[in-house]
Amino acid sequence: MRHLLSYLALVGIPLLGLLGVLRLGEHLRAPAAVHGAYTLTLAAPGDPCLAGDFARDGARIVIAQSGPIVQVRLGGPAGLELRGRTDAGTLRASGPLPHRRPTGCVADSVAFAATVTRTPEAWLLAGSLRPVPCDSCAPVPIAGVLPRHAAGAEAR
Amino acid sequence: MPDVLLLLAQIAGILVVARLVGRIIGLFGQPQVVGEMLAGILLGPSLLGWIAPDVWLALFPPASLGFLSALSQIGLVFFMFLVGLELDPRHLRGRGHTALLTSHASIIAPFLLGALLALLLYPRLSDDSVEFTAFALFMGAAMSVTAFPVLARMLAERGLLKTRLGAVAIACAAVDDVSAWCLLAVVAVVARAGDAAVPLPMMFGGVLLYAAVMLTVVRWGLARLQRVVDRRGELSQDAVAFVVFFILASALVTERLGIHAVFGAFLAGAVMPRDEKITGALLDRFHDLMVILFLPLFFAFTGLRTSVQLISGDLWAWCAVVILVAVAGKVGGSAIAARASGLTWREGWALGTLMNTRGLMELVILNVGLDLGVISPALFAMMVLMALATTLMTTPVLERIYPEAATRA
Repeated sequence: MRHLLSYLALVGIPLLGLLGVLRLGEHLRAPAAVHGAYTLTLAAPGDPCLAGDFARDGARIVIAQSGPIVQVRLGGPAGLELRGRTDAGTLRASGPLPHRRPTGCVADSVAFAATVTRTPEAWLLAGSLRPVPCDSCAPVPIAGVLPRHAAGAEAR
Repeated sequence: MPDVLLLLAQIAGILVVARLVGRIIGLFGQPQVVGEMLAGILLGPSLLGWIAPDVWLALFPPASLGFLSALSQIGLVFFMFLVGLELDPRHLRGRGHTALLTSHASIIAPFLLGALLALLLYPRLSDDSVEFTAFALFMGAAMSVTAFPVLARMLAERGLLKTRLGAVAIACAAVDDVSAWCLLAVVAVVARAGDAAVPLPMMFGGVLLYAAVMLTVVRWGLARLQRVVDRRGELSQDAVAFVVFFILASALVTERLGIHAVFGAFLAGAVMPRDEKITGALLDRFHDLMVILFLPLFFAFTGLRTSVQLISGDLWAWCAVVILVAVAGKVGGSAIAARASGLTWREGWALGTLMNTRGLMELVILNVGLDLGVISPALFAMMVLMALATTLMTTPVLERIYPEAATRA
């Protein structure tokens, strides 16, 4: 009898607690997912700082997400790595430009802002890159697409 | 085509660093496996990529990681087969209510605390592509796992295997292992249900049917292998080739069913005949290759996926909470249950400390979670640190609360 009571107290009650936690958590909301490897469909560099291979058509923009924290990678190993946050599908991130910058580039970092629209077929990213500090630099528009079947898969 | 020179350089570099760090950490009384886990992190973006990014990019360019990943996955599949093979049902029988209560409590206590922690971490470190249920079940499973091989080695080294504490610890760890993999299979089905073409009940049905076929029909069929070995007196190369095929086929089926390949490999090991000649011969042929080559590759690949830099600001506080919850759930749950079932408090705390060793098993579970997309990169990094911390603390803590001199007395 003592063993049965011990078992109920140490296993049965926590098990009920676990069921309660699972029910309680059903109402929790996590940040909207934006992570994945998007293929750039629009990249108009136009700025000497953004002339690297990370801003050409067909390049990839990989977003890794941990809750509201995002890590944005553009291009290959020598590309840009930006960090920032996401809120309701809107992303803001920034990071340093590579050490070897093209001539004519006076900025030392890049600011990235974008929104992700999730449709049943694909996730669509639309936003801009802007070299900073650079008063004369205009934001460079970029757009990307992530097919639904690949959404979230690669960045994780 | 893989760059063979680069791949060979990567493998050679990983093996050297793994052995070296393993040896160094061994000087502090830690098992080799802890050093290898640490070596993986040192080779990743957390250290080498941080202090020498150019060297790191030259040695591990992103385009080359696919081949390293494939090798590490193959190694993992065979390692999980060995885990299943070494699972001895005799460990689970005849231990009475002590093992039953302690093993179940040592699973449910950290599982509950992991799920409670999930309530806090889900809005902070997950996103809406993951269901809370899958996230919470994963956190629970990840918190409740015990590294059976490391624990068994520690007990053997300390001469504790024949003691009451050792017997209960082995039984509990065996139950924990089986339970953790079953729970993880459930998490995998729940996590992939949203993306899969087949509905959730059919996925569950498929997995259960496969497990049932393996445990009955296939197990019965494998008894023939026993007869062949008995007749010839040894495991021939053809028989080993058949076992390799069997492992890969089982891994393929579970991967196709929507859960991870490691479950199929584990199940393949678990249904092998429990004959000393067969298990001994298979362990002889696979073990060294696994320990010397494939496991360091797996640790390195895990390290390459671990970016400690993702943990910043208040996330360090959450990382500390993750470690505290992991330790409290496993040590506390096991100790209280052990005391309630008749062990002394000292034995209870020692048991809890042993059960808190997560080691390699935790890394396997975490990699599965990351592959499934159930956990985010930052949470993965935190949990890797938790696995390292809980494994590192075992030897010194056990030395303090259950010194070897006391066990011999």
